[in-house]
Amino acid sequence: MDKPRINAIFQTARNENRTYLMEHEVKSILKEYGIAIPREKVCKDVNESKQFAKSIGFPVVMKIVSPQIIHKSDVGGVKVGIDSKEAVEKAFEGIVFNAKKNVKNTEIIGVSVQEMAKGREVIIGVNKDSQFGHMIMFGLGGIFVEILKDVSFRLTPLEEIDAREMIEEIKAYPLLKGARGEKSVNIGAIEEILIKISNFVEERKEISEMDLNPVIVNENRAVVADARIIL
Amino acid sequence: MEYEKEKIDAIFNPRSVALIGASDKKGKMGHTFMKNLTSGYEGKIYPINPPNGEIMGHKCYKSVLDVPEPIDLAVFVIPARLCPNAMAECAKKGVKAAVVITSGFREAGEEGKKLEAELVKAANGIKIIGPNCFGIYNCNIGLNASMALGTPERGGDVSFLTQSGAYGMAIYTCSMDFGMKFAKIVAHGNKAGIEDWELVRYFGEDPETRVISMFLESVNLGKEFFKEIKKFSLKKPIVATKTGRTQGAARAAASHTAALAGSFIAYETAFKQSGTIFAKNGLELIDIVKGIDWQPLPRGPRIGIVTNSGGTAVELTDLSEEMGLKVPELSKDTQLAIKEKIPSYASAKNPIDMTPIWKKFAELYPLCIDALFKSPDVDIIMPILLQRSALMKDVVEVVRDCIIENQEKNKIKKPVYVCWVTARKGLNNMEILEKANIPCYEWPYRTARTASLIYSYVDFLKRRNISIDSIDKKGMM
Repeated sequence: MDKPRINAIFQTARNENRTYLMEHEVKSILKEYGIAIPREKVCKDVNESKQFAKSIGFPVVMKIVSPQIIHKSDVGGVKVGIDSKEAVEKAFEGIVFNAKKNVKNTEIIGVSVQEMAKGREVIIGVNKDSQFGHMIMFGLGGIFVEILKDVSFRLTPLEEIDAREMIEEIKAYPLLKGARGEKSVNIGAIEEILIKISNFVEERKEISEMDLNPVIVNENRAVVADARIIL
Repeated sequence: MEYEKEKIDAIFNPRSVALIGASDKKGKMGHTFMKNLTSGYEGKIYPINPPNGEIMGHKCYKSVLDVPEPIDLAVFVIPARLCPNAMAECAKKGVKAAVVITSGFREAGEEGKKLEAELVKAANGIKIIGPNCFGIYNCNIGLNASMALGTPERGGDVSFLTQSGAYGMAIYTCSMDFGMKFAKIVAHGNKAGIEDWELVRYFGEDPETRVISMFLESVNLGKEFFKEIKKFSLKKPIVATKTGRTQGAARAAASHTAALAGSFIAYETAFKQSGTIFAKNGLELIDIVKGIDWQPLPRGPRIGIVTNSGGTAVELTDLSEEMGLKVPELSKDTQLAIKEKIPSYASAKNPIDMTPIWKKFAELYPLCIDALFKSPDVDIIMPILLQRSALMKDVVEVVRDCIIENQEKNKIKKPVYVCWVTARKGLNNMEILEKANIPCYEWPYRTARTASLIYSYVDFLKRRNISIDSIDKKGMM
């Protein structure tokens, strides 16, 4: 693990007076911890985007990369299901336009082009309790967490049994195991991410919040499609 | 954050106790404490009070510094503003620990906060329980350094930590009413000089404590606390209740002990993840502690019910199964053996309903309970004693004897939780069972709830491959 590299990422944010890390920064940290992320690249222009999309294959997801923008969807900075070079060009221009329009003084580093993972969405969150320290949350993405509040919690440090039990505990667990003729997702892969995130935040007390949303999981693997860290 | 076992030992096993503010005037706190200290404790007692020569047969001193022998523990019942100086004298004397009963410290505003800081500074390392607390007990050595009158009974193995003085003492007193015995009790008030995790560890390592129970409003140093409850729940049952869940309650709690609140979900998670049984309120706490301390742990979730009232048994079954336990149908053999003895219209499926043939209660209850003990189909036995069956002394006595025989003589490791439904005149009979350490729970809800919470602990242990036998020494009589 490249600890100095990770330290540098935190230091850069502090130097720039940012209280959060950008998606690509978090993903490079996750990579160091052996957590799977989609193939992706921060592209500076349309051509680079087209080339990269072609190399990883369609469809792709494209997202704005800017130190000022943390809620990318809210400002029209995310486009999914992009399935051709023409669509890449249109998306790139649209995303940059929206960013400039909706956010004052944005510094645009580029547009991230990412492979579009397929599978069920789950959410892994971390927050810091004033008494008990870091607490990890797990649930299925979308309405399951947001509306139904079908979530489970565990305090760090997590043991393997904690990771397993917190997944089994949620009401929607049968969906992960494969309900209505569908196959089970790779639950072990989710467990692994939970443990690794637990290890990570235990080493980084300065993290106050962390959000892996969504983590896309299918029968083979679990991939963190989007992530952010708040210091 | 060092763990200072010796100093905590000085709180519960002091060789000598100084009572600062002792008095011979009835009604004064110093008088109550003197009475309590002299009621059973066999170590040296030094009343500290300037004017008196002798109180209750013990020589009085002006200051701890005048006492010729060493003092392990000092109990403070003097006004708050006088405490820091007296504490400084204790530090000079080499006192190891102090219980500061007096209020008017951090819970009382800015001035009080300052006073508390002064107190801690003056202590210079003395382990403080309090200030603003009810006191402590070590029942097994007859030590009562608390506000509540009475010599505690010896022979208990449940230790109790409470953040509430009055409610904590109510919990303690009411449980004693039902025959609960305790080992050590501590109401630690403002927690100025001791943290929750230290007391958890102390009780965890204490061979005289077999069950740890806690009534909490808040916890300091949550991470350390979590570490200790996680560690020790694998060695002995821990039961806790935490108040301050709602906004209104959090306000009430904050003014009471001026603590920094963590989120309630974090507490709930800490209890669940560590295997600590989370009682929703003080009454549940007593019920669970009683069941866990008096009876073996259930090895499984299957309940066998014996009853003289069908309706009550249905309610008990409903509640038990809703709470995650099972009331399985008994095997054909077990049913046959019972069916021979009960009326033809009665049921032996489970619940075993003998119907209200009260003339045969004394014969049928022990027979059915015995059958459940011997049946491989059940792990938990719940006899329902309702109205007549509870009011007939001879029935209660044979029920008791049957249970004792199966648990002590036959060494069958199955807990019995009696579901008791009758008017208050039956309480004398309930005492017959409770004196034999057979817990009685009034009405089906409390019976089912207690059993399900106790079983949740067993389930936690099973999932971690911890042997129930290793924890349940009562089951290995």
